[in-house]
Amino acid sequence: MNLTASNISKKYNRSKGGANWFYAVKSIDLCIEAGKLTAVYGRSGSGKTTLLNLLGGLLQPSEGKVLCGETDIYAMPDKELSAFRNQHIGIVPQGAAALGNLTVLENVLLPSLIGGRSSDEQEKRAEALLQSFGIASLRDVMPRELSGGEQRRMAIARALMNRPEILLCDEPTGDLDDENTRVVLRLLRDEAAKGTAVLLFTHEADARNYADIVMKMDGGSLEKI
Amino acid sequence: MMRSVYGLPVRSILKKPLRSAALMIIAAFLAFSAFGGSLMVMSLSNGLESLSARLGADIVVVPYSAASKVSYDSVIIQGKPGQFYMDAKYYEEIKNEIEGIDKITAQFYLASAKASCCSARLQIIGFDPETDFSVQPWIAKSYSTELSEYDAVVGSDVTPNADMTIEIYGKTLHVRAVLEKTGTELDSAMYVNTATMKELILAHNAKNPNQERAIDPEKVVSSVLIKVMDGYDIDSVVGNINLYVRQVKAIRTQNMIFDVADSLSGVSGMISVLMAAVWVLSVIIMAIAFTMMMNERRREFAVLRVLGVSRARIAGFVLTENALVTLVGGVCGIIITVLLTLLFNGLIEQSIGLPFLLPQPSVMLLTALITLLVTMAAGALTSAVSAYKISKIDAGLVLRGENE
Ligand SMILES: Nc1ncnc2c1ncn2[C@@H]1O[C@H](COP(=O)(O)OP(=O)(O)O)[C@@H](O)[C@H]1O
Ligand SMILES: [Mg+2]
Repeated sequence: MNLTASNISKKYNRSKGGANWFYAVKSIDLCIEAGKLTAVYGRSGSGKTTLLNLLGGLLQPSEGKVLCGETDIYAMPDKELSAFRNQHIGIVPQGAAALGNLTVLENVLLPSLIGGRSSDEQEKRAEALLQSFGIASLRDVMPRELSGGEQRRMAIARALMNRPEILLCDEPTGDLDDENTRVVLRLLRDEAAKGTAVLLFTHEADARNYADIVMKMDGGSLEKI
Repeated sequence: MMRSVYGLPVRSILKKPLRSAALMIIAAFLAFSAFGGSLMVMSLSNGLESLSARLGADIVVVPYSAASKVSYDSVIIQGKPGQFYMDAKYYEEIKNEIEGIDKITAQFYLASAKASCCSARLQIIGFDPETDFSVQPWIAKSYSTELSEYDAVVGSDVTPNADMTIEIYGKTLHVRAVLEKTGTELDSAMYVNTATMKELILAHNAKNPNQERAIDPEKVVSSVLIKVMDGYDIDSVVGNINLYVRQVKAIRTQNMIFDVADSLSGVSGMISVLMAAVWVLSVIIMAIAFTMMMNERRREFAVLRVLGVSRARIAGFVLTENALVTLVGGVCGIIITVLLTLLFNGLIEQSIGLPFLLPQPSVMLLTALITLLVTMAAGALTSAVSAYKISKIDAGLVLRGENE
């Protein structure tokens, strides 16, 4: 399944009362293809997180449409859109995103519980994910005991739990050392190889070696390189 | 291992025990004040009702001298130790000359010195089995046979000897029954028939040779109780007695009860005001505490949104968490109230000087349930605002910031 954005914009009013429109994302057309790893570079403040939220169904665009396959996601009411996101879109948010009250395994399992599925099979899948991400031994540990790299791997494993067709990652290597960065990038490329449409926001120069498509974001606009 | 997404609220309560305990304490306090306050008010009006129901008379006649000197109303209604006498001829006079009397009977009161049975003075109440309509219906619940000479029925706080006797002025009385608790000083009173009473008064006279005027049991009574015939106006019967019979004062029972009721409604009013103040304050504190706690957890809820939890369900989590906390806290508050009430029941009664009768267990249970519901409703109200706010968060915005 492809994720297509057609002419989406997000504007914020920066002055109270008056009309000082500021475009965080400006008229972007974008297609994230199944089976490919798309990497987007961009400085801090260039609009990456805003774009990811628009694509992930978390932020209503001011203009334009986001299509997942054939589905116009913002045409759905919140309940349906939430369920859709749970089923089809995996998101790795910027920064720490672990649920501190749950163990590592429970964190990874959570998307399936949210989707109303709870079975030994799901639990096996979560464990397999931990295994392939090299954090199987940490399954019963609380997230606050994890290192930055381990937390990030957990977040990716969690995003993949429901086998989403689309995976959106917001600077997943932001605060990682070189070794961990390579581990994470390799995981994302493997995921794309399995047929998932992967979008990676980053300012990691190394990422272009793993990506199929590379783009650059600046001032809310996107250009291909 | 969490098996369902509904385990999330439970998990956040268990994983943050201090935070949860703080909220539970507020909820417990809410339930305690509501339940405790209601129990107080109910017990007081219960006690009052039992008083008026038990007396069974429309009018009480006491000697005029007593009306000014002794608090005759508390002697008659609440069984406070005390004694007063009037010439028995007034009893005959009222009986023969006043119209509209259905039933009439005389009572004798004798406040004994310290007796073997009791920590305080024992109030002895003599009634005439032939004419009595006030005492017997009540003691019939515990003892339905007529009392013989030297038989006695005692209140629940009186402890007879092991062989069910009580010695008084050198006489031995046989305790035939112990009455139900009334919540008044009647619980430390003793009931005997007129014949026994006369013997006791004589014995009392013999033990107190120095008293100013010996009481002649054949010539006096303490009070006269009257039940008015249907079709007659109680107030005009009271008026006629006061007009035509000298040396006595007739009082409508209802007015005596009102005097007690007056001080009671004062106490109840105070309790209600206190309760309301505690509630307003606790609800505000709870609302602030809960809102602050939820605000701190915006990131957590944003992550749930990212993983596909709908806004409605986020609100549901917040409400559920609050409901669980107030449920546990409320139940604790109710249990504490019950324990305290059972423990300090007697002390409360003593300190407010009014009859205090706890409601039936079924009524208490119902009150407890209502209290719990109201407490949880208050909790739901305080969390409704944060639930709404949290459900409206823009997950993207919350997560946009750098690591925390
Ligand atoms: N809610 C908002 N209100 C106003 N401006 C915003 C809001 N969200 C983002 N912006 C602005 O949009 C721009 C892009 O932000 P963001 O998408 O977080 O960039 P990035 O993730 O690339 O660092 C920034 O200049 C930011 O200040
Ligand atoms: Mg960002």
